This record gives sequence, C-alpha cells and structure tokens, in this order.
Amino acid sequence: MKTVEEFERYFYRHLLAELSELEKERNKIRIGIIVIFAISVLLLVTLLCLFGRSLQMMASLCFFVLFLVGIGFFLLWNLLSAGISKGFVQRFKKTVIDGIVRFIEPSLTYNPKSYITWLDFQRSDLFRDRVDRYTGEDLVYGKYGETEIRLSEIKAEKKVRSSNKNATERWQTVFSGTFLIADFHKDFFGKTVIFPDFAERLFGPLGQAIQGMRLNRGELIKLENPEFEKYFVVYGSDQIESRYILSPSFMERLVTYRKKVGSQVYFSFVNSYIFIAIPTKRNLFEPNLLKNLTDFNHIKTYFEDLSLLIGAVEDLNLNTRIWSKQPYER
Amino acid sequence: MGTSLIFLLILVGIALLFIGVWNSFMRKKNRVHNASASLDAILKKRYDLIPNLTEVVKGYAAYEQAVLESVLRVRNEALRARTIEEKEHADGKIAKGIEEIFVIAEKYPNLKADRQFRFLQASLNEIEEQISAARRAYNATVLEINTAIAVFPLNLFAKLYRITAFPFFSATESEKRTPMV
Repeated sequence: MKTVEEFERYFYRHLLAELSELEKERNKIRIGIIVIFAISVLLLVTLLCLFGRSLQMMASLCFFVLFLVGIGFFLLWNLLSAGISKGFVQRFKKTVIDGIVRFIEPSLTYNPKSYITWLDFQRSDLFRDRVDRYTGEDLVYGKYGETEIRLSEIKAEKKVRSSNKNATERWQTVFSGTFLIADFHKDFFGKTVIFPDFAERLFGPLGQAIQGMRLNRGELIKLENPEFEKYFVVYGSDQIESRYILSPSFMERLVTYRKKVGSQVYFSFVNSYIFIAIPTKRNLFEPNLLKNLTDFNHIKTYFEDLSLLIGAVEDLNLNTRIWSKQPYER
Repeated sequence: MGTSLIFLLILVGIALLFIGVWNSFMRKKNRVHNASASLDAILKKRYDLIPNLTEVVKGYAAYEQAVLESVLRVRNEALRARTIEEKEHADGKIAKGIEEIFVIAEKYPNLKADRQFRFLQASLNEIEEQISAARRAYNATVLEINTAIAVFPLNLFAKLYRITAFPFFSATESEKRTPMV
C-alpha cells in the first residue's frame, strides 16, 4: 500500500494544478452560498419587522409561522447550494477521488454514480431486515494484486409505520456506510458471519448464552482468541469451515483491522467471497465546501479513507494464494 | 395428599435433572465424536496425497529413495493409528516427513517447477489448513465436555455416569513453527 509520503509527492506533482482550478470554483460557490444565506436572513428579519406587532399580539401563532418560514428558507438554501455545487462535486470526484484511486492502484476503476448491487448486499447475509429503499454511490472496482474487489457507499432503508393513532410513516436505516466485497483467498461453500459483539461485552458469560440463542444465524462458533471474542461474535454453517476461514493469524488480522477502522465492522464469508460492512454517518467521498482544496492535510483524509478500505486486501492478506485458490496464470 | 404430591413433584424434578444432565453429556460427547470423525477424514486426505507426492519426487530425485521410503512407512503407520494420542504422534511424523520432501525439492529446480508437484504442494497447504481447522474444532468440543466434567456439581454427575475427560489434539511441531496466513 502506498504511504502518505508517496501520496504527498503525487499530490504536489499531479493533483495540485487541477485542485487550484477547483479551488477557484469552490470560492465562487462559497460566495454564492454566503449571498443566499445573507438574503435569507435579510428576508427573515424583514418579515419579523413587518409582523412585529402581530408577534406581540399573537406570539404563539407568529412563532409557528416564522418556524415554517425558517424551514422553507433552510430547504431553499440546501436546494440552491446543491444545484450550484452539483457540477463542482462531479469535477471534484473526477479529480480527487479518481486520482487517489488510480494512485493507490492503477488497475482500479472509479465510478461516482454506480454502487454495489442490491443482490450483492443481500448475498452478504449481514443485514436481514426488509429493505424498501436502496441507494448508493462511489463504486471502486477492479483487481488489487490477485484479488478482485468492489466497494461503494450504500444506504439501505425500510419504511416503518408508528403504532400511534396517526400511523405516520418514516424511513429507518438498515445500513448506511461503506460496503466492500473481495474475492477471498480460500475456497469454501458454507456461510460464516461475524458481527460486532454487544451481548458478551455488556453481559459477560450471560451474553454468550444470549448469542447462542440466535439460532437462525447458524451455529455459534466459539474461538480461541480472547481479544477476537471481545470484539466479535461468529456464526457459521459449519464449525470446521468457519475455523478454516478464521485461522489464528487471520483472527488477529481482523482484530487489527477493526482497531484501525476504529468503529463497528461487520464481516461475512459467503461463496468464497468476503463482505465487509462499515457503518458510518459520514459521506466519505464528498467535497467539503468549507475547506481549502489545495491544503494537503485536507486531501490526505480522502487518501487515508480510501487506503483503509482498499488496504483491507493487504491488511487481511487476501493476495496470498497458497491454498486451493491459486493466482491466475499469466 | 398435599405432602405426597410435593414428594412426587420432587421425585419427578430429580429424575428430570438426572435425565437432563445425562442428555447434555451425551450431546457433548457426540459432538466430540463427530469432530473427531471429521478430523480423521481430513487426516486421511493428507495420507492419500503422500504416495502421489513420493511418485512425483522419485521421477526427479531417485537418489533420495531412503527419505521417500521412510515417509511412506510413516504414512502406513498413520493409517493404522486408532486413538487420538496415536493419531497425534503419527501426524507429527507425517508433517516432518513432508517437510523433508520439500527440503529435497529445494535441491532440484526441475522438480520445484513441475506442474504436478506444484499442484500437490498447494493441495498439501490446503489440507494443512483444513487439518488445523478440524483440530481446533475438535479441541473446542473437547474443551466443552472437559469443562463440564470438571466443574461442580456436574463433576459429580460425570463420576456417576463414568464419563471421563477426552484428550486434546495438539498442533504438530511444524504447525507451531509455520506462521499460518
């Protein structure tokens, strides 16, 4: 995996010129947004002045009207800024994200509008909730060493109806974050899923009993690595196959990767593929209009995020092909 | 009437406890046997590959006859092993023998480049990994029943039912040395 130092050299040699152009555009957008914001505030103040008397007379009603006006402005502001910055976002992704992906591995391809298919998401068997709305963006795909990978941002939601009288509907997130699929270096036929361990962490041995009760997930696989067991709970269709996948050193690699990510990570192993799901609220590949694009430390965060995701192949040693799954003869 | 009913309920309760503990031990014992059978099947896979491996090596390294014959002898011994201790011992010897064959291969570049030899090498790597997984699965079931036999009050039931601890299957020396990927 390329280092930050190497990326710094690449940044100054290849990215900076294009980023300077983008930075000018960002400044224009920023000014545009400030103007829209200023007009919104001005309108709000004017309305307050016009209806000042009414405010004193019917305070509660006026506050309600102002609240609605406020929401209206907020939506208008969002719409306008999104409209203005749409082209900018596309250019940013083409320059920065595509550039970083190619820098990390030239054989990888980036498509900002595509994403991991619903079928693949379902195939991972990580999230069994009903999904009514499925979207995504920022697909990176191709071969990293000997390993085929695909990763993208994904949002899967379901419609829920509240049980009260009004029975209002709202969207509940099933999964929102980054999803990665890679060709695993060993062949296997069953299914092994690894979830973050909440029960055992909270309730200790009692938690393990609760884990054992999740029968629809297959057999509970108790493994020998205490640190791994602290972070994860494993279910599998076959005790031996799950251990074949989760060799002692691979367990250590998963723990190290989990620590590197610094948040919950889900893994599953299905049909000789590894699926990795990292829930996050952050939109990893979007430009930040408030930050200077020519600042290396800012662009470095995109490199670090992408390195962490694509680097899973190296972190988990997926390029080592000494078992049944041999590298392709060239 | 009331006292005899309570007495009857206590008796039923005790009977259910004895049955429950017995069933639990039997389930654990069956899991050990099942894991042991799976381990045997995978060990057999390795033993079956050895004649092919020695045949290929013979074609390139006829002078190494003694090593090859000794590996075949160990393989035949391993096939006769019955208890876990015997299997563990035989497995250690087999692993050592295979290691010796690969050391021989280092001296013969043509052998190392042979397509079939490379295929057998990959298959053995694969089987080693499967043996390791099966060994760990077996040991997990042994740990479960041995813990049940050791802790109070289940140890009293274990004595009553004459259930004794099962032996673990240790990793071979080469397995301990080789960093698994």
